[in-house]
Amino acid sequence: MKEETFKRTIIFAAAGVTILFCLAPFGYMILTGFSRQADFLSPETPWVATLANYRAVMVSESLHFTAFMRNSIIVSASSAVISVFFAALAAYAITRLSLPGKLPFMFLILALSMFPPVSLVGYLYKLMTALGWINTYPALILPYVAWTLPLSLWILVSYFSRIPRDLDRAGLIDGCSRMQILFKIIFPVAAPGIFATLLLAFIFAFNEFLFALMLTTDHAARTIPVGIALFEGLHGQIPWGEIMAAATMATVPVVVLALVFQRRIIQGLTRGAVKE
Amino acid sequence: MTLAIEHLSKRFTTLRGSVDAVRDVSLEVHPGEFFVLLGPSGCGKSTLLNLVAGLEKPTDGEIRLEDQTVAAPRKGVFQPPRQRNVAMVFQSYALYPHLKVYDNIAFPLRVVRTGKSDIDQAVKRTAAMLDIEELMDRKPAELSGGQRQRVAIARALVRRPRLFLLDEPLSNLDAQLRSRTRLELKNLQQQLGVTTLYVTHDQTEAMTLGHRIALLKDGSLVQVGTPEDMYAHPRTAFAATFIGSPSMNLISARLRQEGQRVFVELGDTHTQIELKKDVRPDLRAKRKITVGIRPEHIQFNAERSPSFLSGRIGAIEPLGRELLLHVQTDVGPLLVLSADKHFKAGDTAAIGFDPNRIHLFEGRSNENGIQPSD
Repeated sequence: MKEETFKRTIIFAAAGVTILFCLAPFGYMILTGFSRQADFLSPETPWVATLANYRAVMVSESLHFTAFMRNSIIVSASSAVISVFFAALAAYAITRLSLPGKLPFMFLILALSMFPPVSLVGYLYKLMTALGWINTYPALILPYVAWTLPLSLWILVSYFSRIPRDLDRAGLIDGCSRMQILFKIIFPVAAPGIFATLLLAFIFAFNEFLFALMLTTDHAARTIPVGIALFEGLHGQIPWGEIMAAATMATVPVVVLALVFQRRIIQGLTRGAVKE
Repeated sequence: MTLAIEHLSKRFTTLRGSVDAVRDVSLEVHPGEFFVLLGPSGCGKSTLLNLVAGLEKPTDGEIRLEDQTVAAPRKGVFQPPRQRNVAMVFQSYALYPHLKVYDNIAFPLRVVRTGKSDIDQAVKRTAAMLDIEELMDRKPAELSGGQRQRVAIARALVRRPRLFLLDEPLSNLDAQLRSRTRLELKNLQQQLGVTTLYVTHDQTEAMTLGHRIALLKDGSLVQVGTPEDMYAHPRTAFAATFIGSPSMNLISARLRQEGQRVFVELGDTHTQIELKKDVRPDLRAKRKITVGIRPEHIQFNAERSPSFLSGRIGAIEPLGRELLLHVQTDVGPLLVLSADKHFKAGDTAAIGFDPNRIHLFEGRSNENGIQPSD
């Protein structure tokens, strides 16, 4: 065998194993969702494909799947948009204006993001109870914004700092105010970075479990991860098939978002703006 | 549009200390003039341009456009760029990468909410002027360096600015394109009659483009004048070496007076040149001076002249029309331009100086830290 072919085989084999390793749980999830009984590998009964679990999840009133889904999307989207908006304003100020103590500020933000959620959730519960916000959207959106803000800020600062200052200066000369520069030049130019950050913030919020578990009580505000985890069968047994079907459907919004934004995320940042 | 700069200073203060980028500069640029700010990197020429544009706030002094004060810290006046109606072309072009060429050019007009048909008319007129009409639907990424340059110029000129500022606009172009664009820029400026302030470190650009040149060093003004004036009468040794290419030779020398006659003794040799023109009174008292002579003003075969230096030819650089000779002499290496091409490395030569063509400067060249530059 030629060396080139050998190398290629090795690379493909390694890639195959990695992909298999990463996707196996998803495969298991999808298969279980489509099978009649959860223990689908059992040799006694043949595997039969069925949509019963999906139908049950969608139709069954007691599972509240659609409510969870709606809650998740509203909460995640709101917190992502709010978080990225404020992070973008802050990132512009940090990268463009001469402020004292930028670096300590950035590290303080980073340090704040390292608090384990567990240490905060108890107090958050007290706070939200006092505000009467338990089991409402704001009870989740507010902590999610706070929680994703450091991440968004750090990503956007690194994006914005790669946008040449000459673009700002050209904007100033062309008659823009600082705000106009932000909205007419920096935001469009940084669009790939902003979309990537939006997506990340959305996924973070979408997957969050602990706050959602503690700060919601029922389907009025409960999000998908908690909702699925608390699925219960009629007689208290664990309805694996329905859990897996719901989990499969819950990945759909994230995958769709990633596919939709993919082109915008990977396209060049400032191609052609300035001579390098 | 008259631009007046009076006692302008700019100090940058950072944690590591402060830098005086511009020191007490006073200038006046006349309406329709092509004025060049020339100097080595770090001399403050770009800062000066930014101060005029309003991208930087001066520390002291005053800037006036026409009869309107646009920046004067003592009077508490500072107009941001958008109130000054000045346009600028950046070295990096700074085109908006998310906008097509048309929208890039239209951008300054849209910001001030011009009517749609007026914008269209202005954009098309400017694009025609710069010959970029067929590029309108492209994004900056799809343009070559020269095309980007044109778009940047079009964007600057589209709203008929009071003042046209250019910050080393040609330095990113290759040599051929640079000289072509230089000529076009000159014609364009003449045609529009817009008052222009142009920053460059390239003395050739300054000489070919400028009606007048201001030479800067370490934030201070060294000399202001027409290109011819700067070439013929450099005020300091720095100006002498910075303007003209290849640059002027500098030789340490002593002044000696014998009755009415004044002689210059070169280096530690006994070669002396009798001066025919009057010596500046401030130099007459100085014993240590620097003699400057341009490479094109040195003569060979000067054995019969009473004041010749003997030298040995080292490296030879053929420039096509003439040769640039590096000649090793008792007073150090000299550059000589020679139309006569029969020289070989290693030849000895007798070098003579035309007393009418030599320049005298205060101080010893090496004490001033003067570096010949190209």
